Amino acid sequence: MRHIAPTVLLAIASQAHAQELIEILPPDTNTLIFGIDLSADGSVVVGISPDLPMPITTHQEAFRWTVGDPEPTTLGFLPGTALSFAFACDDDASVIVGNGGALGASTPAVWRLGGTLERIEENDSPGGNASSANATDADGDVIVGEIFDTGGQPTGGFIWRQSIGYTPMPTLTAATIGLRAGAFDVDDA
Amino acid sequence: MTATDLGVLPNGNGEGGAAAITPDGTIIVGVSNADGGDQAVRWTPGWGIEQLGPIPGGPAFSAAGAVSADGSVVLGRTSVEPEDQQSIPARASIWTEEGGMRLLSDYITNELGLFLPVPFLTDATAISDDGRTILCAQRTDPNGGRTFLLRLPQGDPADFNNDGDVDLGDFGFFGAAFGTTSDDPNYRPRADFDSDNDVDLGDFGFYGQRFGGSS
Repeated sequence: MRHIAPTVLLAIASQAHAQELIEILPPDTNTLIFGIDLSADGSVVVGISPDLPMPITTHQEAFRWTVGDPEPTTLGFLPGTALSFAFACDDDASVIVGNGGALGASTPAVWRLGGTLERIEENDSPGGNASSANATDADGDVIVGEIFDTGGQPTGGFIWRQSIGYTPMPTLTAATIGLRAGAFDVDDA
Repeated sequence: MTATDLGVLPNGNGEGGAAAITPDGTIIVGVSNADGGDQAVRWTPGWGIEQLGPIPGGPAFSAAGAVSADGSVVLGRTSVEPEDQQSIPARASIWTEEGGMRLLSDYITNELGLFLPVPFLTDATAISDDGRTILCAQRTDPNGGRTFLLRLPQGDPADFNNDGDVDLGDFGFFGAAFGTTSDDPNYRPRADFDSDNDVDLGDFGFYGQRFGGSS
C-alpha cells in the first residue's frame, strides 16, 4: 500500500475562526498526487497518484483517502493494465467512477467499497483513448460519462443506471457540428 | 429523455458548455463564449444565464467547474489565453455571491489569512455540498502536483463574508436580497434563513438577532 501522508500546514486557531489548509503529500519523491473530487461532506478525497517520470506510460493509480487516515485506499486496475483514474464519487465516496486500461485505450470504470475496479459494462462500453465515467449521483446508482473512439475523437455521452445498465445518450445538435458532446455531471434526482 | 438548451451569453460565438450541477438539479455552472473569449457562467432558475468572470483587472478568460449545493460558491479557473492555447498555466478561481470572482490564492491568503506554500494555484477541482471544504492544487505536470484541502469552520449563517462576525459588512449582501422571492434574480438562498423561498421580515428578524455576534 502506498502512503499518502496528510500534513496540516497552518491552522489559524481562534475561538472565532479555525480555517485550515492541509497539504496531501505524495507517497514518495517518485510520485505526484492530484485530488479530483470530494465526498458531499468533504471528508473523503478521490484522485490519482502517478509515478515519475512523466509522461505516464507505466503506473498511475486511483486512490480514495479519508481525511485523517494515515493511508489511502488505492483502487487497483482493470485486469492486465496499470493505469486507473478516479474522476468523481458519490456522496459518501463508496462509489468512485473514472476509467482504467492502457494508455490510449481506456474504458469507463467504477469502484465500489469492498470491491475491485470494474468496467461499467463489459460489452457495451467501447474503450478508446480517454473514454471515461465522469460523474455519479448521490448514491452511485446513476453514472454518466463520454466515449471516445480509438482515434481519440469523442463519439458521445452515456448514462448507466443500476436498474437499466448502459445507455448511449441521445445525439445532440452539438455533436453534429463537431463540438464535444458528453456527460460531465449528474444531479441527485 | 430530452435535452434542454441552457442558452449562451450574448455577444459571443454561440458556444458554451455545462460542467457541474447542484444536487437538486436547479443550478448549473460552466462556460459560455462572450466578447471574444470564454467566460465562467451560472444558470439559475430566476436569473437564467449569469456571467461570473473575468476577474476585474485580471486575466481575460474564465471557466467554472464546480459548485456548492446551494450554488453560492463556484470554483473554476482564469487564464490570459484561450483554454486550448495556454502556454501560461491557468489560475484557480473562486466566485461567491458576496465577493464575486477572484483568484483562489488571493482568497486564501488575503481574506482568510492562511499561509499558502506555493505562489499560485492552478486548479480548484471540487467543493463540498456546504461550500466549506475545497480541493485545490498547483499542478507541476498535467497529471499531478501539490494538492491542498482548504477547510472552513461552520460559521454563523449570517456571516456572509466569512470574516468571523456578523456586522455591517454582511448587511450589504442581506439587503440586496431583501424583498425577493426564489424566482427573482436577486434572491439569495443564504439570506433565506427559514427556507420559505423568500427573503422577508422573518429572515430580517433572524439576521437582527445575529447582528454583533461572532462565528
